[in-house]
Parts: sequence; C-alpha cells; structure tokens
Amino acid sequence: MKHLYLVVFLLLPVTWVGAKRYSVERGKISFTSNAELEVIKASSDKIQGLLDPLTSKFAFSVTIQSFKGFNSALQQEHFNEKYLESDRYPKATFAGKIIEELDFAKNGVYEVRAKGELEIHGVKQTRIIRSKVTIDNDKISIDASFALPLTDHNITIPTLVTKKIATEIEVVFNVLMTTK
Amino acid sequence: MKKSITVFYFFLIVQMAHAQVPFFKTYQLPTKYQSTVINKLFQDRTGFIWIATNDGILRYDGFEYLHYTTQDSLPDNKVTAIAQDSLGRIWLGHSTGQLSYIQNGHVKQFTTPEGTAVKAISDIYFNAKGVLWFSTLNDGLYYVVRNRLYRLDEMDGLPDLYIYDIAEGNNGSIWIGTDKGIAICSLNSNTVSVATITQKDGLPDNIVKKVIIDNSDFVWLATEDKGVIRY
Repeated sequence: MKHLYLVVFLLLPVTWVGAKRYSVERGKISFTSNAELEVIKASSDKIQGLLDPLTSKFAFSVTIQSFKGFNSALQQEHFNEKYLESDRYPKATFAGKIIEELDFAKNGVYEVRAKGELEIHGVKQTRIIRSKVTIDNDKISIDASFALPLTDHNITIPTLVTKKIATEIEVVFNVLMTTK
Repeated sequence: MKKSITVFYFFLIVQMAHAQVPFFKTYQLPTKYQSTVINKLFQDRTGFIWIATNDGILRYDGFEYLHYTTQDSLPDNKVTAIAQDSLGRIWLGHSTGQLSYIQNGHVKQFTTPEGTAVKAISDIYFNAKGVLWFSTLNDGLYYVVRNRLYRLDEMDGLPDLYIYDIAEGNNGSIWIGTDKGIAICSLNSNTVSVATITQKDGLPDNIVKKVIIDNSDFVWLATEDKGVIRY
C-alpha cells in the first residue's frame, strides 16, 4: 500500500505537467558551411522536443545521421564518420530555458533568448540563442539561427580540407509545436 | 622645404602616437599550460593577489607566485570563486561544486553532513554575521550555518538556479543576480524569505551577472544585454 501511494505521487506531477507541454509536430534544422572553395548544405527534419510553458524549460534533439542534402555521398560519410562521429555521438541536443517571461496564453510574436546546454559531438557548451517565438492559440513556432564554431565541440578539420569546410557553421532551426 | 615639413609632421605623429599608448604589463603565469583560463581575480586583506584559473589557484605577492593544484590536495583544479573569511582564510569554489580553503598555506576541503553542491560555484560571500553563502551555475543558492548546509531553489522562491553573483544589502539581506532577474534573500533565525525582481517588475534585462550595493543603498546591476542598471 505504501508503495502504491509512492507510485501515485510520482506519477501525479508528471501527468499534470505533461498535459500542458508542447511537443514538436514538425521541424527542420539546416546548416551551411560557407568555405572559400565549397559550400556545403544539409538538413534534417528528425527533430524531437518538448517545451513546458509553466517553467519555460525545453529540450530538443536531432539524430546526426538524419542530415541529408550533402554535395556527395562521400561527404555525408565523412560528416558522420570523421567529423561528428555519429556512431559514438548519435544525437545533438539543446536543453535549457527561455530567459524572458512568456505568456503562452497570449498570441503574438516574441523575441526571446533561449539559454541552455548545446551538446554536439559529445561536447557541451552553454549557449544563449536568440529565437523568435510565435504563439498562435495551441500552436507555437520557434525560429532561430546561430553560428556554430567547430572548435567549440572538438570537431577538427584536417588542414588538407580547411578551404572546403568553414570554421564556423551557420545553423537554422525552425519547429512547430503543439500541445496535442 | 617640403621634405623638412614632412619630416616635421612625421615626428609630430610619432610623438602623438607615443603619448596615447597606455601602460600595460603582461604577467606570465607559472602554470602547466601556455594559455590558462582565468576565472576570478581577488585581493585579500593582506594585499596578496589570488588568481583562480582552470589550472589551480595562484597567489601573487608582487614578485613570486605560489601555485596550488590538486597535488596540494585541491579538490579540483578548476577554481571558479574566491573569498576571504574573518579568520583570514581564503575560500575557493570549484567547478565540481566543492569548496575548499587555504589556511596557513595548507589546502583543506570543506565538508558538511549534507555534502556539497553539484555544479560550478560562481561566488562565495561571508555576510556581516559570518554566514557563508555561495551561489552556483544551475544548482541554486547555498548557505552554511553551524556547519550545516542549506540549499535554496525554485521551491523556496528563487527565480532561477543559474546564479552569477552575491551581494549584501545594507540591512543584511543577500542579493543575487540570476538568469531570471534578481532575488533578495533574508535569513531570519532559520527561515529564509525570498523576494524577486524580474522583467515583469520592469527590470530591463533578466540576466544579471553582477550586483553591487553602494553606501547610499543604490543597487547596481550588470546585465547581459541592457548595460548597467541602477535600482
């Protein structure tokens, strides 16, 4: 009986919060490497994520192997095997909180700062990412773009290809989230 | 003639440039790594400069450095906060959430029955009554009374667990700068009341990285994006 109470108490806050949380309906993360000799673009729509409007806390993740659109199959292979080591570090994540206080009951477009730990290639960095949040009834969309220095995440580029891969990658992030 | 004027102007420019060079002196730290991350600088009451780095703590007397690392029983080489207590001991906060202090040249670990914080310590502060307060990056605010460790978090009314800085108000209250505004904590006997000031209350920026309270009771806030604010 004691155990049953414990189980009930443990479940209560989870379901209570869970009922109101936003989750990703669809989204896209794309990146561009704009180097002297080559432009590389790839994107993924395999984004998972949750946002709790009560605490403004969020977590997003994307699987590295789901990025498509490289200039060649070999390039994608290098991306996964040499640079991101996606077997060892299969996901990139960003988890944290929204700094600004948002009224999720009020429709509108808000400029906010999302602060959290960005983990790519197994290396965590605390980042503040400026984002545009559009609240439209039970739907919200989040748009952000930011620069990603490869050295921040211990991604090393061999000197032979430094002219083909930028030291800073431009990342664009768009998601649509619903409470359903 | 033209040449001599040019020469004259040349000297004038050299003179002007020379007068504008400020005086900078670079100090080379005797650390293991060529580029050592410095987290905090602190001058103690006897005048020593303490340098908290990611490669231990250094004490500089103007001539020589004393270097303490884990080899001198420092719990962790990443030193992220420094303070001095009324006994003259130098207290260190570490990236692991641990606290240590240096007394008579020896490093001692500070432990409580409750354990330690779990995230990097951002600031250590001894208030007028001698209570030890310390803040963490994402693990809330702690204080120590009679060697017992107490923790304040969102349940106690803190706006956020990511705390940058601690200051003391002229009435003894503890002010902290966080990612979601400032909080004012008052410790009475053994209960703490927490009041907050955030963007909702008109604070121009929620991220407050430094708090200073001057003698006239003005509160000065250094913010992430909106400059310096006087409250």
